[in-house]
Amino acid sequence: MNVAVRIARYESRDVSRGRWLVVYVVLLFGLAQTLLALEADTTRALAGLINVVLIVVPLVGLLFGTLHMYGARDFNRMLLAQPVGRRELFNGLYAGVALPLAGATILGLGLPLVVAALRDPSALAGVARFLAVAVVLTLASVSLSFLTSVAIRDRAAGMGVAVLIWLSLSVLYDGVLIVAASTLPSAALERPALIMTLLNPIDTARVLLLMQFDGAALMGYTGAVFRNFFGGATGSVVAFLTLTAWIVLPLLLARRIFRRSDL
Amino acid sequence: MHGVLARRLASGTVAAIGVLVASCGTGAPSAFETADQAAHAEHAPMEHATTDLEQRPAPDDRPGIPDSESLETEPTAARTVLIVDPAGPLSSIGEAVRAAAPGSRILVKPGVYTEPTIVVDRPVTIEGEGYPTIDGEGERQLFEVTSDDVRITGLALRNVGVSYVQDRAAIRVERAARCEIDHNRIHGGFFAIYLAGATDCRVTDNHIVGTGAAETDSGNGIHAWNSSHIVIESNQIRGHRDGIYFEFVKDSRVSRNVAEDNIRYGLHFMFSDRCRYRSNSFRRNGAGVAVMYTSDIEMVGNRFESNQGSAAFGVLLKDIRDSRIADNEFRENSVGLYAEGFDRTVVEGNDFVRNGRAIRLLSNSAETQFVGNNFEGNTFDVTTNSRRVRSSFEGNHWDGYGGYDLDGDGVGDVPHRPVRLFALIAERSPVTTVLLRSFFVTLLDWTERVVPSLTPDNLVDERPAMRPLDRSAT
Repeated sequence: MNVAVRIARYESRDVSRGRWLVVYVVLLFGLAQTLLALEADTTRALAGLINVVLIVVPLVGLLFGTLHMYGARDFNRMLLAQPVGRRELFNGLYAGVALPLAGATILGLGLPLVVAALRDPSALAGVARFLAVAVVLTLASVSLSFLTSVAIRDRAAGMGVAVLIWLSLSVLYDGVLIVAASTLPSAALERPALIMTLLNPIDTARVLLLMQFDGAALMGYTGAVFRNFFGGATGSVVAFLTLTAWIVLPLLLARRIFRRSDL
Repeated sequence: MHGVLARRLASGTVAAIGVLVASCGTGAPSAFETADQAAHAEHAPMEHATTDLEQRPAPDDRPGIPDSESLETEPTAARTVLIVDPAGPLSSIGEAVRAAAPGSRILVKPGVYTEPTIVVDRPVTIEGEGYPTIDGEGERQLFEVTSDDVRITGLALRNVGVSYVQDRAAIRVERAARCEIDHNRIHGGFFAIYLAGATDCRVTDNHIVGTGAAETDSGNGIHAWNSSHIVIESNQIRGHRDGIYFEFVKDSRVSRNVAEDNIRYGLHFMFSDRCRYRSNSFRRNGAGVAVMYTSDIEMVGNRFESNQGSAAFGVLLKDIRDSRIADNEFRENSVGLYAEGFDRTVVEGNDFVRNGRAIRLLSNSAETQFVGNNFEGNTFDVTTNSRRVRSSFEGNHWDGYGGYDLDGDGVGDVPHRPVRLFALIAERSPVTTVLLRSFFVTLLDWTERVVPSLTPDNLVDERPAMRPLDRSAT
């Protein structure tokens, strides 16, 4: 069997046994179930979950991934003493962390939502998109966490940076965007605003969900760039591709650093 | 958005003003009018029309249409029946009309009829059997009704053809009373049914499909001009410029119609006082429904759905007074209810569901009350353009309400401010729309709600309902 797959299997089993993953699943499940219980309408419950998912999923992905990588340092050294390539090891590690987390997301959010969607088929498209975004966002935040942990040797500093990344992407970035958008003359801002949005994975995920839940408001905007972007499938495709790039690019960079670094 | 809106309003207003000017005796039609509108204005002076029409009872009080009842019953000995058949001795409907004595019934057998415009100048019933087709071959009006007491039913009308100089219609009623147009299928009427100076007419159960692609080469589905006591009921209209168009129509009733996928408005009316709109559905029309310069209207139990776009509205109300808008459903429109110069009107018991902006209330509206409406899943519940609002909100259910109800009387103990701070930001800088649902925006809204400093002071619901309100039975 491929070494990377073996490592991934070992790692994921290790991660899945840990209590943090269970806590995460229970947390997501609880949040989803509470909102579904409070709202009669599944689509509205989903809309309420947007904020939760955009905050909790990246935070957990970033922290969990970073913690795990720092924790696995000795294990990595030990394995690398064996005939194991760094590339395989890295791939195995990523799959071993990202897949259980993605699984937890699907389990925690998906179970209650799919059950609700089966009762209310009109919400099915919304649920599907919602879960897809949650999973892709999980993978992207684990990618970022790997990049953080290989780039910064010091564990405490690394954790700090991970939290800072999360804070910047989920709150500060949008604050800067709002200030910029409301001070600059708004004539030619459409395209820059869209590009800036796509440069932040959390914003990209948010836009993907907006298209599902606020279509009426987005279509009310006058500008042609937004209209073309949000009007058809273009927006969804571009945003999903961008999010995929947010998984792949940090990961490739992290692997490059990992292969060259002195462990 | 304002630019587009202004253009839309302007085009309607200019035409309307043109007619007014012409009818007031200057006699010089405005350059903006179509030749046809000018012709109307000259031939049917307003003053005559209004004095004559205003004495009639309101349609709701009318026991029935006096002469139509005898038209519906089986022919008596005094009434003749003429049979038109492509194979028969009488193969032209026009000929049949010319041969008919008043009160006759003309039965049209199945087939395709192509003949010059049929002028119905005497009270007859033209009834199709198995939907005989009358084809205008893209170049003419099909029926021109100039007599009172005419009924046209059961026909398939098609290919009127586009005209840029004449408002051609499948059926045009010109200064006639008590007409009945029902159960027809009209496909590709430039205008489908055109009532000019009609009174006490009923247009019911027609199926109307337009083939226009742009506003400029398309007419309206049911067009009524300078008419009164009209009943438009249970028609289906799609693919026209405006589904139903009223201008200077008084005391009329529009109910149970479905207007969808029309190029501009599903329903468009101006200067049409005392009209009632009930239980209609307006879906996916280019710009929704527009209602202007009118007072004393009642819109009850209608559905306004999926009208999306930068200038699309569930209902656009401009200069509307002393009216009532109740128990309607506004769903997934870019703007649910847009109100400008919207005075002394009651908006109650409506459901606003998943609209971009449920209500856009401009500050030139006064003394309008929003009572007992439900707001659910809208991106913005209320937006406005001023800090001073002269309308009131009370007892509505807001899904974004964060207050509590300690005494359990179903009324929230804390007032609700439906205008979000982000609504103001998005107003000033529309491009920030992409930041909807951002955590930062949620924080902003939250701080504003705690310490209001920018949102309208007096746009407050002091008695928000804790639970969604049932739509009262109407």
